Order: sequence, then C-alpha cells, then structure tokens
Amino acid sequence: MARRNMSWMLGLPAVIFIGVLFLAPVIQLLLSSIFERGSDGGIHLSFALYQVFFSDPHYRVVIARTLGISAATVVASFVLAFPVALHMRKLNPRWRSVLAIALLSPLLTSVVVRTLAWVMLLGPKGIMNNALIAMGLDPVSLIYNDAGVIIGLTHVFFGYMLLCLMTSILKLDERLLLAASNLGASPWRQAWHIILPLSTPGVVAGAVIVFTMSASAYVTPVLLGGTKTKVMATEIYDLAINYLEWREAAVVACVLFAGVWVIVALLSRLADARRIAPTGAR
Amino acid sequence: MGSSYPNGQSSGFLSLRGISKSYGGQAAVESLSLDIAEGEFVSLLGPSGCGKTTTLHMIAGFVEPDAGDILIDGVSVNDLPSHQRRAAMVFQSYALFPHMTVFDNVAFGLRMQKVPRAKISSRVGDALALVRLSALAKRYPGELSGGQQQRVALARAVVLEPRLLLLDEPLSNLDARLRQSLRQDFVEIHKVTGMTTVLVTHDLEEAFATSDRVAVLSEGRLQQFDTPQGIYTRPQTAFVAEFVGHKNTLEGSRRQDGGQVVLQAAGEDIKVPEAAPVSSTKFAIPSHALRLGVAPLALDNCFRAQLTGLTYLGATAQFDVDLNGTKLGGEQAAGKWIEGLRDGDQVYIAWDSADMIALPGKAA
Repeated sequence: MARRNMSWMLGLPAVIFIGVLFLAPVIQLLLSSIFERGSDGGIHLSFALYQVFFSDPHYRVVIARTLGISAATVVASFVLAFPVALHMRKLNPRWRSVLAIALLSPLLTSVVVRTLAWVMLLGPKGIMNNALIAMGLDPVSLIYNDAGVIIGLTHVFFGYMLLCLMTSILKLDERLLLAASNLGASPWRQAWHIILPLSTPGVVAGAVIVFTMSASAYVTPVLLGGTKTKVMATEIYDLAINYLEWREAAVVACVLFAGVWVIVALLSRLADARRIAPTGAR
Repeated sequence: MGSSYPNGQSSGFLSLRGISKSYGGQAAVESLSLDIAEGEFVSLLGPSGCGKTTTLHMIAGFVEPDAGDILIDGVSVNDLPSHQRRAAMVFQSYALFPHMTVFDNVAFGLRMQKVPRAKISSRVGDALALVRLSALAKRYPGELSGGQQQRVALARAVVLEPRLLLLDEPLSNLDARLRQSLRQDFVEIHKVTGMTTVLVTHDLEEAFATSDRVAVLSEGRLQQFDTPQGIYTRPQTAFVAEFVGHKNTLEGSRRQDGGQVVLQAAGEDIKVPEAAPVSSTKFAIPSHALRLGVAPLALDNCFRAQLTGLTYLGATAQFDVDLNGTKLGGEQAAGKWIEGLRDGDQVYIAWDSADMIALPGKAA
C-alpha cells in the first residue's frame, strides 16, 4: 500500500494565516453590508444601502473617477515603461541593473515622502509654477485634481509596470528581431508586430497590478487630490472614520472589491484571447 | 573565377572586398575577400569561431564591418539597412514568430513591403507549395516539427524573391536523417529558383553535397575558395588538409627514379602522382583509397604491414595498420577477407599512386 502523501499539510500555516486574517474580515465586511439589525432586534437581509449607493450621483462620479484615474495610470505607466524596457535589451547586464535600481528607487521610498515631494514640485507655489511664472507664463494646476493624482500614482507604480515588462521583453529572442528586420520591418514595426504581441503576458500582469493598486490607493489621492478629488478609497476612510458609517463604508468597499476583480478578470481574458498558440516544440 | 562584367572588371554578383570585424580587440574576420557569381551556391565552411557566421551577418546587414566593402550586383551595400539589401536570412534557430500562423510568418515580409492582399496570398501559397507545407498554413510554429519549422523559415525567405539567400547553419538543430532530406530541399529549391545562395556550416559533407564552391575559413581568414573536389584533392593549407580529414600522411624526400617520382617515406619507396607539384614532399592517402589484403594487390604502391586494428561495420570495415612505424587507417567493403584476420597479422597494404593528395608544407 502506498503511503499517503501528506505534503499538502505544509501549506496549512499559510492557508490558516490567509483564511483567518484576510478572508474572514473580507467576508465579515461583505456580510455587514447586506445584513441589518432591525428595530425588533432581529437580523434581516437588506440591499437598501446598495440601492442608495447606486442611485446617488455623487457615488457614480466617485466610481467613474476611481476607474478613470486607475486606467489613466495604467496607460501612463505603460507608455513610460515600454521604451525603457526596450532600451534595457541593448544594455549590458551591469548597466541594466544600475538603470533598473535607479528607476525602481521610488518603490523603496516611503509613499508619504514621495508624495510630499510632488506637492512641493507641483503645488500652486511649487517649484514648477514658480519657474513658469518667472518665465512669464501662466501657472498650471497639476495638483488637487485628477491630473495630480495620476502623476503621483504613475510615479509610484511605474516601477511595477517596468518590472513586469522587463521579464517579458528581456527574454525575447533577439533573433526574432533580426529576422523581422531582415524581412523589411523598421524598428517601429518590429515593436508593434513582434515585441508588443510577444510581451502581452508582461503587459497584462503590469496592467493588473497597477490598476488594482491605483484603484485602492489612499495616501496619494489624499495628498495630491485634495478634498475635491474623492476616490473610493478616500470615501471609505471618510465614511468609516469620520462619519462612523461602517455599513456604508462596507458597501463602498465591496463595490470597489468587486469592480476591480471584474476588470482584472476581463484583462486576463484579453490576455488569453491574444495568447500565442502552444509553443511546446522549439 | 567570377563572371566578367562589361566594364572588363572581373567581379562577382556578391563581392566581399577585404572585410574585417573584431570584437573587443579579438579579430573575428580578417580582410576577407570573396567573389560569388550570380546563381551560385557557396558554402562558408569552418569550425566554430572561424568567423563564418559573422561574415554572413555582415552580408545580411546585422553586423557592420570595421573595414572593407560588401557589394551586391556591383553596388556597395555597406550603408543599407538589412531590410533594404534583399538578402533574406534563414536562421539556425528558425526564428519563426511564435504568435503568427505559418501563413502569417511567410506573409510577414510581403506585408512589410505593402504588397496587395490578393498577391500576398498567391505568393505565400506558391512559397508554401515549394516547401511542401501548404496543408499546414493555419498551424502555429509551436505545433510543427523542427524540420517543418525550418521549411517555413525557408519559405519566408524565398517568398520575397531576394537577390541573396543566406542560410545560417540551418540544419544544425535537426537530426541526421532530417538533415539529409532538408539539405536535398535546399539543393532542389536552389535549382528551381536559381537564387544566389550562401550557406554557413561546420559540416564538411553538408558543404560538399550542396555547394558549387566552398570557402574554408579558419580564425577569420580565408584558407581556400574552390570547388568541393578542389578543396578535397588540392588542399592549399595545412588547415584545409586537416579539416577535410586527410589523416594518413607520408612525408619524406623525393627522388626521380627513371620516369617515376618516388617519395622515400615510412621506410619504403613510394610512387607518387606525376602531376604533383615539384616541391611536394608531403602526401596524404585518402582512407577510402587504401586497400588491405592477405595477398599482394595489383596496385602500384603495395607493401607489407602489420594489422593493428579491425572494426567490422557491416557494409564496410575499418582497419589500422603499421607500415614500418607509420600508422595508416582505411576503410573498405567488408567481405571474406576479414575472416581469420587478427591484430598483429602481417597483411598487404596497397593504394594507387594517382589517388595520393599532395599536401602543402607546414609553412602554409
């Protein structure tokens, strides 16, 4: 008789840790958003708070802004990171790691410090506007609005996008590009027809990470968005901490949670659809 | 060689004029000159690191030469990017685009040239028919065998009707049987299209079987550029002699014995071919020219020797003998002669003097 394989038990500590400390509060959050304690002391299932949430135009704006800012951050990070990853192919390993560390250094800095630096740079009396005024130009408002939040988030999350793109782009076979060039493709068309399709897994991974992190970012929207630019994360904080409306906060949190997962699932489906056919035999 | 041009200058369709390339102070190719005629099938042959692939990449435009000129049809292409040279490349690793079907791979170059859609499908169809892969047009490269992938790569190059077809060790990743059949495909396609073809290989048989002429390279320098027969029977340098496998060498002093030139070597008077250059004092006996027998053989060089090894291979047998201290090895059709022979036996070893190959001295 074969001995039963007990190696699965090695995973138990992690499962218990995640289950108790992560899943349980999430489930509690979900439950608290759909059950209410009635006047008779009993507990009823009720979606009234969700009805309120979705019929309130204020919340619709907040949802749209959150998703819009996240999507813009994904696009901005990609547009910035893609050429960098392409350039890294041409560097020798030493310069590649120097550049990578330099570009990833924002990830190693405290988010508060980093964001305050942007306030000093972009603020109404900041370095940039002072310079513009000194040159006789009109000051621009790049802070306390959506643009400020997108700039701040892109700065923070650009590194994740770069890391994801690097893994895909650096392992691309150089000979494919030589072949494409030999067949008449200019560098731009090589990037479009060969590099981009073959790095889809990295692009999707980067987009998923940057999108989810942007959608749930709190510090950056607070410091760079100001009071006007409410996103869902700041809304949840306000409801829970300032107004002590825990159940309403739970509703917003659940909508954010579900919305992000739907978009992540759609992105993954997109990646599957573009997936290259089996590449078993080489 | 090469064809004559109206201006009287002898030149090739593809001319390399003293091209050099070094990497970090290490010369990969040193002032290499070659003239290849239009429609010719030429191999660049040599061991790894001899500069043959670098040379091919310079022709393709992937690598810029440090010095020298590359001319196609009399015009320098040094400053042309790869995609304007019309020199299509087939890679050792196939380099097919894994995210495109066979059809799209072959169509890629035509699409880059903005060929009309209807023309693309008919030209791709023709190219796939040429490599007998029409049935697999909708497959992805990952679903094909190595040999099929390489044929797709060949179709992808040929479909552009290039001026030059460049083959970079295209058979190295394939097993022996497939290599032979694909090698035959290259020869057939060359016959059909008449495309000037340059093949890079380290395999002597592959180069000889396919090529009109072979350029042997060693350490970045051209050793000899000649027909396969020329390379084999008239090696110009010691390197070429060794590379083509001339192992049975005899070196000694020459003297005239009546009408016959005689080489005193291995303790015998050995008759050598009359046509051999006067200065030759070193000769090789190709292993297939050597005959072994238990009785004297009717060839003009026949000596007693001691058998030191015998390997039965079925159709043939390999043998090693000791001729007065000189080791010689040969291979001949297996037969009754093998029976009863054992190591240490006295045998007769013979060869026709006409089969002997004059070797260059050490200096070369």
